Amino acid sequence: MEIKEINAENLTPREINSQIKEAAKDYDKILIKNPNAKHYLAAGVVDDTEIEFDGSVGYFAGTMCDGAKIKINGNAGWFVGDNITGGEVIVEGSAGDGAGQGIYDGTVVVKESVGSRTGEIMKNGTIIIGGNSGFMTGIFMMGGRIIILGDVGDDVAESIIRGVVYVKGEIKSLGNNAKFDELTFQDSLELEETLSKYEFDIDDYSKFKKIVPKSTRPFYGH
Amino acid sequence: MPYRVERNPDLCKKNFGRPGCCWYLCDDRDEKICGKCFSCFNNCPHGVYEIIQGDPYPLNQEKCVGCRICLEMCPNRAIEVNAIPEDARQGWGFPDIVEIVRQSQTASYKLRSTGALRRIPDFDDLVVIPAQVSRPPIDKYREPCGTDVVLGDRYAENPLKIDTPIMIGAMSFGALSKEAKMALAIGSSLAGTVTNTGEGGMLPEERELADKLIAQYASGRFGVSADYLNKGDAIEIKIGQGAKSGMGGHLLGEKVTAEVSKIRNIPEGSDALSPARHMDIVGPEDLSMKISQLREITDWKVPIMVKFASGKVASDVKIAAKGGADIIVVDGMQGGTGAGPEVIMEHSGVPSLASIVEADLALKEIGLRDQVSLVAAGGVRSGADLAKAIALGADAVYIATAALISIGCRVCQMCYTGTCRKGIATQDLSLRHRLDYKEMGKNVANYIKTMTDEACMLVQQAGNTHISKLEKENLRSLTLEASALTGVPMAGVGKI
Repeated sequence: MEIKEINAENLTPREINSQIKEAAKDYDKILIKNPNAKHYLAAGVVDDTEIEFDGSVGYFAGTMCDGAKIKINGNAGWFVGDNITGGEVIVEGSAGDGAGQGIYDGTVVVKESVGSRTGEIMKNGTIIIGGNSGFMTGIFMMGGRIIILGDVGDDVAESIIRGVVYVKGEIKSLGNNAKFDELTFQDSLELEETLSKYEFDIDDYSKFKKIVPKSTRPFYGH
Repeated sequence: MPYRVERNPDLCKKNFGRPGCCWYLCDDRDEKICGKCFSCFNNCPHGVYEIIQGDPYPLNQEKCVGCRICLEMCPNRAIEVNAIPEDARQGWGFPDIVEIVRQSQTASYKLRSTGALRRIPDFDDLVVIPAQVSRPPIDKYREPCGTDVVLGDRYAENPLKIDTPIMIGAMSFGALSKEAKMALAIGSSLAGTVTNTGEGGMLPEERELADKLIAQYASGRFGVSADYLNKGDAIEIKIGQGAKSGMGGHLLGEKVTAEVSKIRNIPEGSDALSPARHMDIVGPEDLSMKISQLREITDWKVPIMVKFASGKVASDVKIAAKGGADIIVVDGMQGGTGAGPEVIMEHSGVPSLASIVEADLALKEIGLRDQVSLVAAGGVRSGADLAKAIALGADAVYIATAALISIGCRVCQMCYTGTCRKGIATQDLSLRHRLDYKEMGKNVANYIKTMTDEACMLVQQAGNTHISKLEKENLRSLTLEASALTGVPMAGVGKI
């Protein structure tokens, strides 16, 4: 495996991203030292490559990546994994608001807790939160899955029209157009398959609560 | 304004007691109904006609909006539609009464297409003053007039270079049919200008046919990916649009077919309602970060545009300019839409001519006028409108409703139902077949070229050699309103 190491200490996001995109063509893995919570790191990488950040990243880390496997050995700012269309973004620590915002495919995993509005306007793909998720998780969701292993705040799945939110812990309240649905055996098998892939160890997969939309047209067309 | 619709039964049946060849029915090829026509009945978007004893009659005249599609599609020219003077009893016009009745019966606000339809101060209130001896005019027939413009050369490596300052504004696939998108793409290429994806993703056909294409980035993020943005020749962050200021895009479920649902990745038949604000742009800093984020994804290659509905124009324009935008678009309240509440269209926003002046002044105040390009949108119909918009301070204009009219639209205001008789604002295959996109593409180009030519005439008679050289002092106002909105002096002694 060929590894390219980039020291981001004195580089601007523009320089870091252009070095990542250049290296992504030839190397199997890119290791970025000292990311120092800079914004927009690894924005729009469309090569299948492994990218590892040795530290914390700022806002919009991994935005619009397609196929890259990104690992962040630290925390992430707002909108981590924004609008990815494939691949995965794994945050070992915690993340801010809007984790996995607008994703089309792929997986965003945050091992610890995240802020509010996780998975807003997402169309497809999977978001896994190891800890808690805040206010309006899954707002305007149009598809895909959100899995929360901890507790979740008020108005979960506000104005959801497609997709599903699974929560293992406590749920404060549901948003408009969201309702509980029965967790099927098939659902728990799917959860087990997904979560074990990211090394989460769950004792009982039948204990998740499942939230789905009431209607696909909540505003017009009645 | 109400309309009187008349169908002449003698003309209708002039062919040996039968109607003419109702070409539109060939969409169905149903031999059984070949002897009948019913074109007016079938093609009226508003249900004005009813069939009485086998013949169509325009019974529901109050529903007519004057689109005249029935007249245009009647094979025997048996129909007349005439505007009649407004029947108003003080403030209580007949249309007001019809609307109150409708609301009291349906308990719903009025949803429609297009934009503000009432009288608003517009470009017609201004004139371009001719050059005579203090400055000589330029000869239209023998001397050239430059029309090329470069937009967005502030930070972008590859700015937009277009042959005419008329661009085609954002209209999504979903709102429009694939054929309409292709016609606009062909037209923009033939005219040497640029078209815009709108917020519904990028059709492969559109990308192939358009020489230059702006990829719109709106709050619903439909069809957005790194690939999508990198295929664009510019990226437009849509904050708002003039027709429904303060609201996100509306695409009603009737138009979310399998193909539209695939490209947007939303459920088929559900309403695609973009959020009113970008979930990650709720303040000045956020817009600046968004611009930087999109630049990182596109390697600083293409211009980043920011489009606003005209409201607090000066503040918004300053925020976008300071945030690093290459191009700013101000969309006046005359701007159009495929679907929106009428109350917003008619009662919210700033007229286009006022917003251009305010935006131009705002850029000058912060010393960025030379660096940031300004695009005006909303209600531009002709070369005269173009020339006046540029004189007021714009570098280029968007046309959208006007471009649709060039491919067959008759402003019936029913785009949102998905039953467009012209095959433009529909996903229904039988209706889409009615639109010959190659021919209509040529129409778009003809129209843009003619508008450019018209603008040149005004430029040259005002003594200038390039369209971008028109200035505010080349204008005079004919109305107090337009003068007060723009600061353009009244014609004559020039007092406001």
